Amino acid sequence: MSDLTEYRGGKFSVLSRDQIYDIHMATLEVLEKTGVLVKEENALKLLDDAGALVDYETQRVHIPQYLVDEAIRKTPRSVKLCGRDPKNNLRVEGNRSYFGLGGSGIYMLDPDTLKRRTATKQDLADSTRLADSLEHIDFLMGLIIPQDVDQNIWDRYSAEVKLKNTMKHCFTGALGEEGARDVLKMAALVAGGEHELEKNPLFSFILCTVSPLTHDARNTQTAMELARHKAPIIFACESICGGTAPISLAGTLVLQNAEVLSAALIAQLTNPGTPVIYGAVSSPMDMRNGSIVMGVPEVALMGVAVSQLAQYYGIPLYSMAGITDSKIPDAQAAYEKALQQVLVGLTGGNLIHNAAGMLDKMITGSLEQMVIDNEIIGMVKRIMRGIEINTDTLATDVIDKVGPGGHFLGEKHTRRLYKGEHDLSVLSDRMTREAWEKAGSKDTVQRANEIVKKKLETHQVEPLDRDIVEAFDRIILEAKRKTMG
Amino acid sequence: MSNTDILFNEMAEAIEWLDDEKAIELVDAALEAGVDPVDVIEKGFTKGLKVVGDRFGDGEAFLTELVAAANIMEEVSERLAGALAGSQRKVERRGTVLIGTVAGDVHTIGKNILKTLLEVNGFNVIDLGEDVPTQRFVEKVRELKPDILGLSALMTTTITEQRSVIKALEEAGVRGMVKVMVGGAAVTEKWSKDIGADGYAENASDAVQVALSLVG
Repeated sequence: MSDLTEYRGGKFSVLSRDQIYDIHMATLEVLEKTGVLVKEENALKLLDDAGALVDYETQRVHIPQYLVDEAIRKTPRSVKLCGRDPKNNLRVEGNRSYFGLGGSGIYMLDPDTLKRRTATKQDLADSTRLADSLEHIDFLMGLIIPQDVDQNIWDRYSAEVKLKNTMKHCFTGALGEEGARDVLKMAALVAGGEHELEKNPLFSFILCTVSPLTHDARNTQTAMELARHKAPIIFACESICGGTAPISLAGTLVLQNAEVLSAALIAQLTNPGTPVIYGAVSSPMDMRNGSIVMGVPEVALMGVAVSQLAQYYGIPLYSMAGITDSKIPDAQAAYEKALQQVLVGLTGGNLIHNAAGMLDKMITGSLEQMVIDNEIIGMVKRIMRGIEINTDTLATDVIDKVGPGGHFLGEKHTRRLYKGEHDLSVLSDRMTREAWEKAGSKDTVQRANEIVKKKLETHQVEPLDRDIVEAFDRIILEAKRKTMG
Repeated sequence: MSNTDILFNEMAEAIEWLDDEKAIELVDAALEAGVDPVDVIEKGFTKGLKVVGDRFGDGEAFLTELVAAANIMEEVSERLAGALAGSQRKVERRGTVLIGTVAGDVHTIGKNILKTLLEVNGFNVIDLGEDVPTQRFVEKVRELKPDILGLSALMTTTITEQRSVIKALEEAGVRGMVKVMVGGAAVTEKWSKDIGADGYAENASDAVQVALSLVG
């Protein structure tokens, strides 16, 4: 079903099996003893009926262990996420890794001045089409949320732009029940009907929990509406160590786990078998000034740990690697991103989002950075493939043929295996000094900018049928009318 | 140095060392000795709080210590509440800030950090909490007459509420009574100008400076 090469982790870990079990047991204790806040009446009712201890007045829910087990058991262990072109389909399970865009920024970086400016719908279209063209980007989310559209219905505009500009799978947002219905309707038009969309989901929806331990009304309603449609839901906990989560990494892992598993429970009680994706993407606070820090080793460690946790549960994972505190595409951005990507990749975090395109604590998007990240991901993928050992690669025949004192340049074996065995960069400069000078002595960002320009000039995405585009316009117009009220 | 001065020094140190038990002991000792409760705050504990605030500003103290210091100050104030109410003098404040996260937004941490920093810097802060309906801001401005109204919004989907609040203040005829500051991850300087706010800051430390300039 998919033409994508399989990249698997399972080569790196930071937690032992016993430590994973400790985190699991601590999570069960938190859910049963401390409980979670669920600010949605219907969800409270569902939890009550299922056997949780519900206080309707305080909206506090204490969840017994067997319900947590139920949530895990009813969550599909594998999710198929689809693109408009089936060759881009993803099989999200086990330790298979895919790398995707980061997103939901509000600024774009100008590559010439290195200043930021407010992001627009055009930026979303350009960044989506660029990501569509880049070989190592397996899925997308909106690089930015367009700031030049009605902010009450940006979810519809984003859905429209994504469906028009990429053939790959997209994460997207939905604002409330109505937003979820509209966005699903738009995707169903492209998929060829609601039933088709359920079988081949073009969108997954990201919903954030509110740390610590809170499920707010709107997101819970959205989740329940999506569950009724069996749409893939990513429950993302984005807590802050020391702020909205304990300062310890272990404590943060426990808190995240409690939030995500209780959210999964609500979805599974709404509609058993809803494809829920585990999302835990917390980061620390810099206690010197209260700001969130992202490009730190602790983020990489937690990225590895949640990958292991999700694999332990057999729940598909939305993980994170490639985030940076740097404001521009510089050395700091590159080393922070590479460190996280290689570690989470080698662990096999499934949907590694934020892997490309973002700078400045996820606030600012950059097309040049996206091209640089594509390069880093390509190298990480090469490392993940490892070294293939078989009779052919051990190469005794060709060694014997060439013999002592000869060379391998002209051998068929060399021609046949060169491309698969060796990373062929498009961006990195690997020339001699003289050749590099002759080519204009360009730095990485300049070279990335040239690639951006060329791709945006040449890369085309198959246009949608006219009647679908017109139907999008009607949905957006109607949503607009409703918000004007 | 008089015994009272020694007591004041010890109070400052109790906050610097984040020793809440010692702080309460000192409050009780001061009350017993008949020291003016306003002096206990102004000459004693506030000095220590300022030291912690300055150390935070210099990157030497951490946020967690700042919050702990502010918590001790709150405990001290509660312990002194009775005596303060009976005193002729009032504790001097730089101004009153009414603060809250706008409707539809449940994020509180940024607002809470700012609240602490404002208190450390001598502001009286009234916190309306999160997901605050627009009309509640208007009612509270009318009722409490704060110098500054601080509107927090983290999400791109909720910053529009900041504009709604400013409009509602105008419609209620109370916009002129209060300076409005806006902040939050998705808020930009341009946005703050577009909606007619009086102040904007990118982080909590800068916000204190903006607040000081607005009441200055």
